This record gives sequence, C-alpha cells and structure tokens, in this order.
Amino acid sequence: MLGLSAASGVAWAGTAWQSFAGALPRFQQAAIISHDVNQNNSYAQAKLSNVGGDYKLNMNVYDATNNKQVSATYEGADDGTLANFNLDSSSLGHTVNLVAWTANWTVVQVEYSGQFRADS
Amino acid sequence: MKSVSGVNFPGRLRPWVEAAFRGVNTVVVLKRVILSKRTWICFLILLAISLIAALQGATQYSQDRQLIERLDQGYPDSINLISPSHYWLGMSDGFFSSFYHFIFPLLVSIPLADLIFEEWTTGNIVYQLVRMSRRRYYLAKVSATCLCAFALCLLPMLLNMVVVNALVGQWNMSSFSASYAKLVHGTARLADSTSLSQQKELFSGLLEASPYVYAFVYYLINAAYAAAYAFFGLAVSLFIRNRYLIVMAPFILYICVWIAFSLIQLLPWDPFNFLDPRQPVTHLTYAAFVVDFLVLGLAAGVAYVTGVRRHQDVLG
Repeated sequence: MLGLSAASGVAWAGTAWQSFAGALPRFQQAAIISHDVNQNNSYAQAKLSNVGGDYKLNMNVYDATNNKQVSATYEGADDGTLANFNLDSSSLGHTVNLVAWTANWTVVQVEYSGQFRADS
Repeated sequence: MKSVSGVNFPGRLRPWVEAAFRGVNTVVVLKRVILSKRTWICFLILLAISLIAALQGATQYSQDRQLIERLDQGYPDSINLISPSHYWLGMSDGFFSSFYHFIFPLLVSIPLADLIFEEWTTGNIVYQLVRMSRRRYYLAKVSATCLCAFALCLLPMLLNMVVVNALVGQWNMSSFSASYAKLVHGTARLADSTSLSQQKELFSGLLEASPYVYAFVYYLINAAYAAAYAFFGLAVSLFIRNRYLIVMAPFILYICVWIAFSLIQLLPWDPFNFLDPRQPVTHLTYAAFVVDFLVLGLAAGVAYVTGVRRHQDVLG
C-alpha cells in the first residue's frame, strides 16, 4: 500500500491504519512514531498492540507543518490501549505526527508496536 | 520497673523509651543539623529545583488549558480534568519535576549520612559518649537524621504546590474532583479518550476526594522513603571510612535498584516508579510501598545495630 501511494503520488487515505513499531529512547525523550494526513478532522486514533514490560507511554498529536501540538495528551497507554484524539481544526489537510514518550524516565529503550490513523 | 513520663517500662527498655519521650538529645542533634551550612545548601538546591519545576508546571498548565478549552468546547468535564494539580511536583512530565524525584535521596543524605562519621573523625564522639549513654547517642542520631530527611524532602514539595497554585491563580480544585468522580463512575461527558487516561490505578479515591489529599499522601510517602534512605546512609557510615562514599551510598542504592529492577522487569517494585504520583508503570500495588519500606528500613536497622556493636570499644 505504501508502494502504491508513493508511486501514484496520492496522499494517504485518512481512514487507513498506519502500522508502527520501534523502541522509544531512554530518559523520557519524545519520538515521532507515526504520521498521517488529517483529511476530514474527525478523531485521530492510535491503537497500541504492545508496550515493552510494564512500561506505559504518553502520546499526543503534532501538526508536522508548524510543529504545533494539536491534541490533548493520552497518558499511561499500555498493551491494547485505543486512544482517540480530538484534533485542532488548524491541522486540517496537514500531515500530523503521533508523538510518544515513556511515562517516566527509563534506563532502557521501550519497545512498542501498533497502528495510527489521523481520521477514524 | 521505672517510670518515664508517667509510664512504667522494664529497665532494659528505659533508655530507648526515655530518648523517644524526652527527645532532648534528638533536639541537640537537630539543632546542629539545622545550623549546618551543608543542610541549608542542600535545602536551597531542592527548593530551587521545586521552584523551577513550579514555573515549568504553571507555563505548561496555561498552554494545555488554552488548547483544551479550544478543542473540547461543550465538554466541561474534559476541561475540568486539566487542573493545576496535574502540574505539581511529581505529577507532570516536566524535566525538573522528574529530576527532583531522581535526586532527592542524594540531597537529603549529603548533610545527614555522615553525622556519626564526622564526630568520629573530629574525636567529638568521645566527648559525647562521656556525657550520655551509647544507646541514647545512637538513637538520637537516627531520630534526628530521619526527621531532618523527612522535612528536607517534604517542604520543597509542599512549597511547589503553593507556588503553582499562586502562579495560575487557582486554589479550589473541587471542579476537578467532581469531574474525576464522574470519570471513575462512567458518567463524565468527555470530548475524547485522552481524559480517560487521567484515571489512576492506586489512591483513586483520594483523587476523588481532592487532589490535595492525593498529592499530600504521595509526598508523605516520598518523605518517609527519604528518611529511610538517609538512615541507610547513617548505617553505612559505621562500616565505611570514605565520606564521599557514605553520602553517596543511599543514592547509589536507589539508582542500582532502579537499573537492576529495570533489567529484570520488576518495575512495579522499584521505588523510582512506585513513588511517582503519575503511576508511570502498570501492575502497581499498595504492597510495594510497604514491603520495600520494610526491607529498606530493616536492612538499615540491622546494619546500624551491627555497626554500633562493632564500635563498642569506644569508651568501652
């Protein structure tokens, strides 16, 4: 699907889930874990399949164009969390980033995996 | 049977009870600690961290509140759940809020852990032991150390709460409590699920009553652990002859446990995690607060008694 979109030059359909996986840096540093285009300003959703160990993550959404926070923060997400974000209408038509960080300082990297979409 | 403060105790217990009831020697040690430059420097550092955290918290609160008021119009419960209490020390993700939580075992130990060691090196211990019993001397050191560590940790936390509230101009948290109670009982009208994430696993009832009660309970627990860590440092000082290692010992223990428990995945039992009011890991239990405190207190107590017996030759 990624290949098809890139080849055709078409923006992501807002309702398609974007899979993500990786490891968050130590000491509560934030990282962009996924992105999508906010096409109709309905709720953005993040579905976490797995968070390493007993750790929790905090997540919110930023407008990639001006690096402005456009949602409230979901705190303490763990395995199986489905977070809905009410997005600021200023991000309509823009690419938005899902930003995450661990809920506390950690001495290890925390693995995560899940899916994200800017419009539900 | 002898009488102490109107209560009868067997002779063997008398010195301990007397020290606890009268506390005369504790007061003397307390005075010395309070007048020490090191105590004030550590207190001022803790205070500075808490005040910077307050500034950070108040700024973050204003930004978040503006965003939520714009996003969640028509959802008063979602707006009410963004309250200043969320930005008090230990409750927010601000760097200095976390840093206080990270550094407190070190800063409460610096003026306290080497109290006995200092008197050993200056020879003052001989003068002290001529004037009082050994038990009373060592008991006074423990009680003064624990009391001072408790206050050193607690006061900046309470002050942070006051400063955040003063900066944002809000003292009444009843709207937060009302909305939190609705959230817990599933009757809150919320704009999105980010508000749901505010619900806590432990002490949720306290947060329903008031965030002041919730924070105060956490701060008291943190202060009790500060006292236990300082006591541990005092116990270590009876075995080690290096001042730097003595004052660092509680911090080294705190950090080593943090690293070890992170590696073996025992996160809910690590003080670095469960002492944090944000409740940053899953599977937290009330038992961890009690068990870890008892283990730390017992280890320090056993080491202290062993160390005291080791030094029986002083005026023995």
